[in-house]
Amino acid sequence: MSIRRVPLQDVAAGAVLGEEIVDAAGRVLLPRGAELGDSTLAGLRRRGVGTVALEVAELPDPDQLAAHRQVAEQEIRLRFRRAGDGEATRLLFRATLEHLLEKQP
Amino acid sequence: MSKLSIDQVMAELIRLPSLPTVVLDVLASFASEDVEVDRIVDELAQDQALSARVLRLANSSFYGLQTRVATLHDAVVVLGFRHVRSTVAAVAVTNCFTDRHLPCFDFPAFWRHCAGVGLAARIIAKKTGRPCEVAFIAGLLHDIGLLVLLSSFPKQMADVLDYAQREHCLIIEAEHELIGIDHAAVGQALAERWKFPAVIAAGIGAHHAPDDLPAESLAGTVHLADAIVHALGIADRLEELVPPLSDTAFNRLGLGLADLKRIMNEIDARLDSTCLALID
Repeated sequence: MSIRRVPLQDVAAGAVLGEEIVDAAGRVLLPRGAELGDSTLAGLRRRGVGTVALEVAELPDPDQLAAHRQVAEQEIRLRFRRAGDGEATRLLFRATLEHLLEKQP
Repeated sequence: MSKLSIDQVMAELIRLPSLPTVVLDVLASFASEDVEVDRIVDELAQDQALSARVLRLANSSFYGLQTRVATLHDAVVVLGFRHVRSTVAAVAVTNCFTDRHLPCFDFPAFWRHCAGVGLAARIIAKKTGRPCEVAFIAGLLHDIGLLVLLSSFPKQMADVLDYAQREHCLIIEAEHELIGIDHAAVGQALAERWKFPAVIAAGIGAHHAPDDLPAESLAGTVHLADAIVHALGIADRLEELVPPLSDTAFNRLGLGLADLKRIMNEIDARLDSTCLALID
């Protein structure tokens, strides 16, 4: 997980706070990890809060994804090295690769 | 190396322990319309070790029952006799071979592969409208001929396994090269000797050559199940090899990419529990 600052108007209900929200006096209004429901979002808008820090799932690094795919493909190719290249065998190869990548993205 | 003759192999098959009488009754019931279910179940219940294993498999995620069954009679009510008898056959045969130890052969990996193929064959049969309980037995026992060869001809088979590893070839190719007989034919001979239904014996015998049998046989189902389970690397051995998948056998089943992936997901979800119940 990483933290990203987002304009309040773009936040949908269900988002999770990545940092606490404090008022001008330093009092905690909402703790880190709080889930923002519709009424909480409305309250924040009334208080004039402009942006909030949200927890966001990290997007996978494309280079890492490509490397992962390459390792999976090599592993499966090793098992298929005596399987020939018939149509059904190629389909099974593809199904195995997709299955493995979907299992461990 | 001198090749083995079918007579030498048959002589060894005769020396193998026979199955308990009640298991032979269960196997005979596959060919009979008129089955005395209650009598067979009463007899099975006398064999506590066998009953316990049957119940363990019945209660595993292999069948995905909502409620647990406590007795064989309950299992017959909930699962039906057809499924209970296939479970009995599977458990009885695996029991005959689980105590083998040969340094050159990884038995746990072998059984894990077989349980996977049994599971996969059952899933494929269900999807393609074939009898799933016999498909399960044929899948589970498809490589049983290897165990016969290993226990009867350990020296020759040590050479076969060594050759397969050195040459990176399939075990069946090494068998043809070195001993002139293969585990599929030996497995079929054992299944026939133990009076398994002909459809199971033929499915075992042709799992590497499914095109030789008609489309309605189980050979194509077991052939695809074997290829899928090798593709998934379930035995977890470096030398694991996927055999060539026959286009004819695959097309006869009418499955596509999405089906293959669904079958793989189902195997992943159920394999551990099936292995635990069958082998442990």
